Amino acid sequence: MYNPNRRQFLAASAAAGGALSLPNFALATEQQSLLQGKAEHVISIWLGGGMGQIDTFDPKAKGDPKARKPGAYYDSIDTAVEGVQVCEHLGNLAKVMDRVTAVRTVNHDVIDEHAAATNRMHTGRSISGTVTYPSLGSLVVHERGSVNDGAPPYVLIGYPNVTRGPGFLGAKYGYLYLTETGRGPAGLSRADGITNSRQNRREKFLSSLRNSRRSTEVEQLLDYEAVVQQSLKLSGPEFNRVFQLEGEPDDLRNRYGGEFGQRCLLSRRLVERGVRFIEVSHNLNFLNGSGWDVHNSGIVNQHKLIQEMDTAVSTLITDLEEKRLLDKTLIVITSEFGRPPEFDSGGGRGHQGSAFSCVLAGGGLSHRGAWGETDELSKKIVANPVGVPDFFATICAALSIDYHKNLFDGDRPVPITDRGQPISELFAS
Amino acid sequence: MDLLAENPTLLNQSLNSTGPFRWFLYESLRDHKPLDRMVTELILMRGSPHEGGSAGFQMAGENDSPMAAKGHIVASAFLGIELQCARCHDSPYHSTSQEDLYSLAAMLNRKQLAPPKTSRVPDAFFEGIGRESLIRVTLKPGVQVQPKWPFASFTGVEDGSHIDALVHSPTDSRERLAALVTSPQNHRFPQVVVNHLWNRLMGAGIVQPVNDWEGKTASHPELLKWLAEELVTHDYDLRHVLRLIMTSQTYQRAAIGQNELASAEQRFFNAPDPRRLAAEQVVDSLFAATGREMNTGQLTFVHDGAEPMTKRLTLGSPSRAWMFAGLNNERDRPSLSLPRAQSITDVLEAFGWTGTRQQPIIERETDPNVLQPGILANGTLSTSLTRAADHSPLAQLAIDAESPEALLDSLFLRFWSRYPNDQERAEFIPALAAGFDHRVLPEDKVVQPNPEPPLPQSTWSNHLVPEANEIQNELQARVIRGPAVDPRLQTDWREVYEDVIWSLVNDPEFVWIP
Repeated sequence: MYNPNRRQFLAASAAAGGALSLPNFALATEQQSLLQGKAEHVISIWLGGGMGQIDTFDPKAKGDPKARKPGAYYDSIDTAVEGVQVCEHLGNLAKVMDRVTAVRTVNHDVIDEHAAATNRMHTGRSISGTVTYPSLGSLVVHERGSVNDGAPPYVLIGYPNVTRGPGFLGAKYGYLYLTETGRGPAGLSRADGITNSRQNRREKFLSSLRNSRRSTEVEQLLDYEAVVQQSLKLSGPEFNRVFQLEGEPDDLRNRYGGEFGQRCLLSRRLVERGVRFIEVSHNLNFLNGSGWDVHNSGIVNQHKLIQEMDTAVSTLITDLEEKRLLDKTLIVITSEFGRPPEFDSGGGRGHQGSAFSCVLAGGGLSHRGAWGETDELSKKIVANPVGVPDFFATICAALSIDYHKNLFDGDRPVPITDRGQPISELFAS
Repeated sequence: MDLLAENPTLLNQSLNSTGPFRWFLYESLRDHKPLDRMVTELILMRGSPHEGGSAGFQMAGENDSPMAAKGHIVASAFLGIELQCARCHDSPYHSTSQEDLYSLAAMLNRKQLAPPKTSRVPDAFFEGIGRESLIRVTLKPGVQVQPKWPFASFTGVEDGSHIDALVHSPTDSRERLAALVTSPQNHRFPQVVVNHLWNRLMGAGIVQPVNDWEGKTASHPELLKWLAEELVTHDYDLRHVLRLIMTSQTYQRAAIGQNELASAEQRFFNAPDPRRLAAEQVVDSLFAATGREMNTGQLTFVHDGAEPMTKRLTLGSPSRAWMFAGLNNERDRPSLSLPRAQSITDVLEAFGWTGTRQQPIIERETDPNVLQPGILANGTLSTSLTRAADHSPLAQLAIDAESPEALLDSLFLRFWSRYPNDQERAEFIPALAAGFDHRVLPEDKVVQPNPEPPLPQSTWSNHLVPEANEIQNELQARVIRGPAVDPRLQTDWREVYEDVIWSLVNDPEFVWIP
């Protein structure tokens, strides 16, 4: 309602200048000391479609799809951590589960639409009609920046979309993306057939053009010329060498496995090169028709996906460890949601957001194989629930990012996570 | 489309998805519709929501108060009143309140409405901060807000019986809102509109920011008022005002202004600010200069029409850059990739375009980043367009050229709209002259490229079949490979020619307005 007094008052305060300074939305909990880990990089593996926790990291007694008896699809096996089991197709990861924590009690309430749940799991919060939130990768590079100037801070190996983007933080905190490991990111790898001699001629022509006009003093143009040079450098052989996996030993390449494994190998190389945050997408739906979204018959070959992940991620863990990078590289595995213990009419599974597993590995955390407990069908949370904001806060803490701070969308403060609390048990020294 | 958060989604509706009312906007501009009429029709939200009518504007996917979202857009785009904060609470730095936004939303809604539960600040927030809050919530939970014009003081127009004469149905609050926004007594609306135009052409607004005028000073209030009066007295004809600005001495001066960052008192508009081409202009210029057509095929996931438009949209076959939208491959499936369109949206995104417009975009980011020159230097689109492709206009230009000098002139005119200067001639003519006389192969040496066999169509209904991935991967490989070169041109000479073209596209002059 129109209220002249209020308007006049505000006009007067604005004129007073400085009367309305930026607010400090301190939270009461700030007095507690912040948990701080020692991770420097993140490799975030995205399992598009929704990984069923009961068939992977939170196995239970077997069910029967034909009789529609709820339960796991596979047998369970023991792991390096006493009392922690995983499904039989995670045999390699089972051996290194002491470097891993399967967080079994992640939960949210978005299950109907993949895009919406993808958004929830990338931004860590519910949507709002008025703010476009940044993705985890953008948050991390906003807080921690590039590791070095010669490398982009955030690389996506997968298809671009808005949920992986920088939201209100701005394009500077966005990703470079590539969809196949054979070539570098779109725009920063030379087109096929452009030999060095052609590239040299092109750059010679370009500098002729630059030299043939009056030099400018316009700042915007100078800035653009600077990024032209920077871009020529990044797309040159020096940075693009990181994408040439052929230089890796054959044995190691084979241990990583197929295309997804090669993506993981590339991620390690990007970490070495100084990339802060890498998202690797794993949804090779040609293995079983539907990727991780195993409705109906998609479940029949689900074990191929699980095995491929097992091979690639276990190799990534041991390879990082051998290169002494595991403690500073946090591996995260997330997915839109989990899947229920019940079978659908086609023998597959629907969606379940009320309890599902996300995985953390390396990153200098005190791993315990698993955290949180679900009931005998991995349907209900029994102990230690971890909300999506808590999971995000855990990642922030592992990277020594203040998980209570505010970011600013213009002059509006936005807490960096939706008031999440890290899993403090993973920070015990 | 940015200002109005037009956000059509090819797959399922997601946050703030709208219908493709781009077609309504396009036709209105093409038909030279007076702006007051266009805005009236937009606010009335009529026609088909999914096939291009202004009814598409009323949609807001996954938003539990679409009319509040639209009220926010109408106020910021057309009245310079920013109500983002008012969604959930009174604005901390403005005089507007949550009730103002929901009164406007109720006018669009044609009846009272209550703010949704999600648009409340939780009580815990106020308890937790340990001091007096800067934000206040003056609306009680669950209160119904009545349709009421909240902006008489900002706009100079009150709701009253004089509005009855401007509407078909005086009891329809949505009609009343349209009339109040576009009434000639509303002095704010035309000023906001001409300020948008000025900002676009000069690189800085007379009032900044363009969407949020409260407490801001106009650098040239008389100019603003005069341009606004010109708009109103010329039947809200945008082209009239554009013509006035573009024929002014100010606009025609070399772009060395530094207005954008200056305070209102220091913003002299001695010259326009340097402006980079907008993303769509970069792409359209690439196609225009190379003479090629956009052949991306239909923007849709249902080529077979097997799903209704309400669930899976088609946006037709784009012929201009503005016709693209977000490609929505959240599922990360190669079978749902659109490689041809992606090669274009990659360029658009690098230059600041956003395909998924969840919020109104007031000003695009203009900071330079490495991807901009990168995508022009190495990207799939420019690699394909700068090639002397089989029977392409650029290949034909080379074949028909009378001399290296004439060829260089044609290239400069095509790409930079000017002739080369002496130094440029001295640098480039020898390069093109070497081998010029033998650039066209004798007919018996020409080897025609083999046409690529057509690929089966991958679409929504078959995208889970493994073959669909292979088809799209093969398509992607073809798109990256680009078209075959023109076999009539001798290879070494053609590569030099293409490298000259490449340098014209990659020099900053291609994307900056002098």
